[in-house]
Amino acid sequence: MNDVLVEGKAVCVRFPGPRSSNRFARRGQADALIDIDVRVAVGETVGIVGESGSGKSTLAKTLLGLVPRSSGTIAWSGVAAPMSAEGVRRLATRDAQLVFQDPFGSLNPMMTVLSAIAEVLRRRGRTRRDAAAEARSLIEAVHLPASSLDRYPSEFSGGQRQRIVIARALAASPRLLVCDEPLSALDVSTQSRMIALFIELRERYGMAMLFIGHDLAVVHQLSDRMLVMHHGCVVEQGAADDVYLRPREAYTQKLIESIPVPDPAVQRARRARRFAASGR
Amino acid sequence: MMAESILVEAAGAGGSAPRRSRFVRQLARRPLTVIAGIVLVVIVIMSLLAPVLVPAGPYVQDLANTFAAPSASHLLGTDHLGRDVMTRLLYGGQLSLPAAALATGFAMLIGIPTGLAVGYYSGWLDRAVAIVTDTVMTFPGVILAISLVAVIGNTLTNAMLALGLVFSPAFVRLARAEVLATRNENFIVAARLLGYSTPRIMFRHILPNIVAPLIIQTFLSFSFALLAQAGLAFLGIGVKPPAPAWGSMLADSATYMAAFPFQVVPAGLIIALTALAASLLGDGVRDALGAGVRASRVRRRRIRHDPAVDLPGVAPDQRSLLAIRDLTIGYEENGTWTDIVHDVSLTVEKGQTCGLVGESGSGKSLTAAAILGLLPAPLEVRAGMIAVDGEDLAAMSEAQLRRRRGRAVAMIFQDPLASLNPTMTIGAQLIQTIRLHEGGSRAAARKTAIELLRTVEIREPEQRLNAYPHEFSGGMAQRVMIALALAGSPQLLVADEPTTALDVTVQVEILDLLRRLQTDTGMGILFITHDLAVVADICDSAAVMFQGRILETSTVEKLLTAPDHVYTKQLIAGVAVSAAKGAE
Repeated sequence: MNDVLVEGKAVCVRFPGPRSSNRFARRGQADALIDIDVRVAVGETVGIVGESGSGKSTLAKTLLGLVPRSSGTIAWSGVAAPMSAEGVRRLATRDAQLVFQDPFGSLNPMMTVLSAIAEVLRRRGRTRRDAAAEARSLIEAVHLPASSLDRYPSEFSGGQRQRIVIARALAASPRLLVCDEPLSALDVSTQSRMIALFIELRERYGMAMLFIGHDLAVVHQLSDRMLVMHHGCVVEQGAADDVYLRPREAYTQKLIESIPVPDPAVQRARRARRFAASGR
Repeated sequence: MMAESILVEAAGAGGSAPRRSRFVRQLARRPLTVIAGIVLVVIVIMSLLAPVLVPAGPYVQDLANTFAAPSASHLLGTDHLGRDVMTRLLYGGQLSLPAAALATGFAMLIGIPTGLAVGYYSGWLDRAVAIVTDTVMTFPGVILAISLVAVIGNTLTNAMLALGLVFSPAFVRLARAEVLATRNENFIVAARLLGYSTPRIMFRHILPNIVAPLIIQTFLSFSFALLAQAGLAFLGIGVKPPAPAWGSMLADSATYMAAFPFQVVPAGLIIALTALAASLLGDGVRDALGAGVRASRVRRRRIRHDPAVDLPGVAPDQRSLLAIRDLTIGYEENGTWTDIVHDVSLTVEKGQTCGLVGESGSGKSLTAAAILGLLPAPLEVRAGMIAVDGEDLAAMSEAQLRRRRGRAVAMIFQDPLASLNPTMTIGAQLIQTIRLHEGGSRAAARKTAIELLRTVEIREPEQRLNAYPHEFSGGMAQRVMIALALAGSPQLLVADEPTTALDVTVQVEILDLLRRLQTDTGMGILFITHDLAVVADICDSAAVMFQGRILETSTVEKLLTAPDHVYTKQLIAGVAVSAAKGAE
């Protein structure tokens, strides 16, 4: 199978246990990931959904070599990665780029947008002039005005910064864009514009995506396949429509029920069901 | 936390000058820094021009005219060999200033790259270097420099290199600490994933972000080097007579201080002045670099009148819990006012929840902050009324307002962990708040605290009182914040995006909790959010805000099924895109 971009088999990540004797400190959180199998094919979008602490971000970081795994195999484009995070990262950087949740910390505050994007392009051998021209077309691809290039990150809103981060990631021509909750810090209306942007860019650049989020409805819109994670395990996976529209697991159903919809009648009905179930 | 997010919203209106000119403006605004800079520049230029100003040079002796007092021919008098002190000071600058710069430069050259590397790699390298720097720093610097000079030879250059070596651990430690704070920022992670080399990440991405504290250390080191050089010269190390370094001049004159006290003044003064100017300049440069990052203090509003209000035609028992009328918020710049929130009117009834919906930058958080008088400077309430149960908060003094905070009106925020004090147990924070509102003994307050935690459905409240905020998840921390808000039995709760940072499953729990508390206490809630779906869940009525104005206000049913305004329709469509199609 040479169309597999990244594959993890039986990946486990164990963080060091609690150091203090504190009663409430990270009880039972030593295992961040337990036997995870995950695969992203070329051009495919895989969604990972779960609550905070479910291990979804850890999984992405492990695949990118930002967190060391304790066992399991990881292969990028069919090449098996060594155990060290360093080694995984060296393979991953050829194919993948990352978009972060926090749009504020992910750009160097001392660099203009142009220098941040051009730096990536220059490293890939472009001349100064070509890099500038390409940076311009990238910033326009994420629907920001070309005048943005001369400004500093502090001058942009969260949604705009997220677009800049995406443009910088695209400059590296990734085959896989890993998006770690890129919408969670944004307004609902900004979110829907960003979803449209992700869909547009995916078509245009033919990238695969690993899209992480806690909102099943949002992740569903973008994904071909979905994994639902809970306490470091995959509880359900399958085609995105199956998981979202015909969930088999109770946990997945609870996640879907929790997403509010802008309809007071529906919310009231759900509330009644919830209270009936909990016996209140 | 809240002040920051409001500042971000407000900053959008301000526009932005290029970074460099902003820095120069900031610098020019500090008179002490400007004076210090001018003093340093004058001293440097005078030293450079010494051969032009006094072509005779610093070695001309006049043994007939020693220890002369200042006069027209000798502005600062003459020394024990009858040499002109002014001349020797000018030529001394040519020796002393570059020497101090050499020591500082050498300290930076060793210290900064070492600190960067140690901070970036950590591990055994960090521990090894820490042993060396800690050892060096346990010795008095000058004594260590003297021993080094004894080994490498007594010349001015060697003395300064030794001083630089002694000063370098301070740079190592500072750079290391700053790198540790910056290293885990996402833009560094991004740089690693972009495949940048380690030196590139260190020097291009980390160094520019930690340069401000290093600048202070640089100017400080320069001052220290100047003083240490004087001290060494005093002991006969570094400069050899008859070379006119400032330190050796001071040493020479000290010998005759008893008989001719003025002798020590010129050299002593120039050393002190230069060191002081360098330190002040360093401070000013750092402050100018960091300007605008820190939030400014809360400023009082201008409106003053009798806080008791009567809405025309409304009997006291029928008046609303919260009635905001024609609220305008703005700031003054160069004599002109810019308004950010325009004529906002809003009503919250007892026992009801009113939503205030808008995107970031719409002014919804500013409106909320204005209720409690928490607008960050330079923003002010320009006009309008904020009546809570018949009292206009907008017209109150800070002291009057303080008594209402927490009692009449309480507030909860988006990021509960940032709103709790990380160094205090939540029990201590609850008890402190309860006693502030109700007085009473610690034991009674403790009981109330346990009761409050039980009210917000935290299990094992007795044990949890002793826990620190970091031991709570986001949802649990928000429950603690709600308990804190309830401590003053407020009539009105202002909730500024209280569920935005939480998982959807936890959001449901917090909304259910707020709804139950409202039924139990009858408090009114002003619920600020960007999410219409949340409004559909918890609010009775809602106002839609856009660019500082309220577009429409109505019941939630009407707002979501038959909105008047096209923007509301777009907002609903935006949510609908991201929300369920077949979820039911």
